[in-house]
Amino acid sequence: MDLRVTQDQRDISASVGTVLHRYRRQAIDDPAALLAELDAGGFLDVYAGAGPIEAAFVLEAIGASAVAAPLAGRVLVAPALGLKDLPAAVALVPSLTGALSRHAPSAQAFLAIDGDEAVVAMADTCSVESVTSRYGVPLGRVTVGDTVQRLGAGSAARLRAAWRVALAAEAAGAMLAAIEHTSRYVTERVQFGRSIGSFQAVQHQLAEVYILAEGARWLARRAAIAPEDGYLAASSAAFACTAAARTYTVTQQVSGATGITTEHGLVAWTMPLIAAQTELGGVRAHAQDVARGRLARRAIGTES
Amino acid sequence: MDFEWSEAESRFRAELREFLAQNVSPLWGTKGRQVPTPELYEACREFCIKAGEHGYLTPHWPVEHGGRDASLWEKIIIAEEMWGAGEPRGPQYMNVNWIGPAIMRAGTSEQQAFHLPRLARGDTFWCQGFSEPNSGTDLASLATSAVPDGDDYVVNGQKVWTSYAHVAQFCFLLVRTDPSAGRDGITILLVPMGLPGIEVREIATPFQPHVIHEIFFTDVRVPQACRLGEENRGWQLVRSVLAEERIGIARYTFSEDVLDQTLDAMAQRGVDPATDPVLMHQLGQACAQWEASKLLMYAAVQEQLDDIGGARPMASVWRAIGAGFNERMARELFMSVMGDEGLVEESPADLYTLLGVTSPITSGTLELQLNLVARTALSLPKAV
Repeated sequence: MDLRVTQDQRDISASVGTVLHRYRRQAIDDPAALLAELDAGGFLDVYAGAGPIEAAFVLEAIGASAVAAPLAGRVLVAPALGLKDLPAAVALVPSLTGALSRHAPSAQAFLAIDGDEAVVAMADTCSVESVTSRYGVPLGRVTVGDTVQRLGAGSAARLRAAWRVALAAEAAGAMLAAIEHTSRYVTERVQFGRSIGSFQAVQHQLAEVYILAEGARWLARRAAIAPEDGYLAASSAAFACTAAARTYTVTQQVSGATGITTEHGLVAWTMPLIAAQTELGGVRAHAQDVARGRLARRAIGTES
Repeated sequence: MDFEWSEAESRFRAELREFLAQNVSPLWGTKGRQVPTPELYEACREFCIKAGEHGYLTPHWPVEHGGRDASLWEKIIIAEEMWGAGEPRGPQYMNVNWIGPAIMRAGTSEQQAFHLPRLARGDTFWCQGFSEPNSGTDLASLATSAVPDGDDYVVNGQKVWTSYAHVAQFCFLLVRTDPSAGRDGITILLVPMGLPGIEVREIATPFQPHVIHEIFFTDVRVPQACRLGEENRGWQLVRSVLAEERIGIARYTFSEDVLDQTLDAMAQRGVDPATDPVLMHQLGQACAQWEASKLLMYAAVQEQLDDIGGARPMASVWRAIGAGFNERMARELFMSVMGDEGLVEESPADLYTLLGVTSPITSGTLELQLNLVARTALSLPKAV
């Protein structure tokens, strides 16, 4: 056991953060320029080049930057399935017909779930209908065409696991950034002659969500290196979704009316956190899978 | 970054697990930790002596004090396995985690020669004389007085909420030696519990016998040779050793063990949780939180190993989730799983009715940990 963050990992976080900084807190209609920059820096292939934890670090940085771009699929999910040479913009789709998919309007390829099988489809073989949404993540309704690459029986579970880890890592980055932003604000904001961040009622709520966000971050990192472990992956997503819901509520609450303005900036993190809570069936689906995994482990333990 | 245990660490865990399987008394179960009966006291004592003989009590202590300088990770493996077995060390975890280290840090050579071998052997029980009726979370306001008189201190006052006082041979006692100096007027005494003038009374609770006690000190003459460290410098020492204690209590393994017991109990009654989606949701949420909690403890361990100086926010993060959030969630889950059967005395769910309340209170309340997280991790201004 050695949980030191290595210098390489620090460097990856810092350098991807530098690239993302120029795009931060923006919804990006055409992510081509950002993707090209990330590709040039080797960040899209960080999984193969450095490893799955480093891919989780990159997704944390993406969440922290509140950059709305189709990155999770290419940075973590596709390589976890052993897929190479996919285009830069890969979106994830929970079923083949009419499902909502984040970043679908700008995707060049889709990874989709079809029963117990995962499939790959190029965007020009699929139909994508843009959907209006206010949650900081471009949405499209996708129907996957007939021309797909099938990844074999059981591959859907691996896709779902990697997807869960990716959403947990990205959400953890967003939560920690939202909490940091809010902590700065409540320290500066003075009411009753004192900083509102000095009130325990405010401190305890922010401390609580910080603890949850740290938990989500470490659980996502742990699950990232065990892509075959559906229990850990579901745990990371279940915990991240619960933490995201609480982080949204607390950071918005203690920021008051200012917090809901675009100018203040908090909503750039918190609106996508709402979107994260519904991904892949949301906490209900994740928690059910955690429970099933726990009972299955118990059954194996009893047999042995 | 490597989340896997090394081969040596895994081997150590397997050996320890085997030792526990062979040596934890069948009496222990889930209820033994507070040593509520003479039989459980004896079971605890016998276990600790065997654990000491096999080197499982103090491997992380320095060689010169009977340890073998084992890594902090080994200490965590011990904590996980012991808690997974219902913490058969009883109060000994305090001895090895912070009372011994405090004596190493500040004790005289005579104190070290007397106490450390006994602690390492596992045959002495200690209690901690910290809280008082008017000094709980604000511990530095404590008033139990110790007045020098010849070679002794004369101690008068009352301690309260004390676990293990009914079986302890020694008390790690905080006393006031300077009434006007706040936290700079606190001294530590290592007090034999058999001294005249010490009276232990159990405080009744609806849970089980001997959960908490009060200790009265009436003109107790404690030799000055029992003072640990300098007079009036006790606060700094106790703060630093208790910071280390925050990361040694792996309650999540205990929760997982109790979960298995609740599921076993219900399986015997023909209840399958998989048929109840609400229960499955609750179970999934709890398991996810335990996984997160485990990793946050590991992160706190790494923070201590990195030793970059300054505050250690992860220690408080861990303590808040490990002792606060987890125990509450476990209490609710176990009662949900067991339903009415959880009301039966000494059922696994019954046990957590107590732990779900006490764990976020003991060793620094959850609120105190949240204050520390707010200040050290989020740099929020000190509350006024």
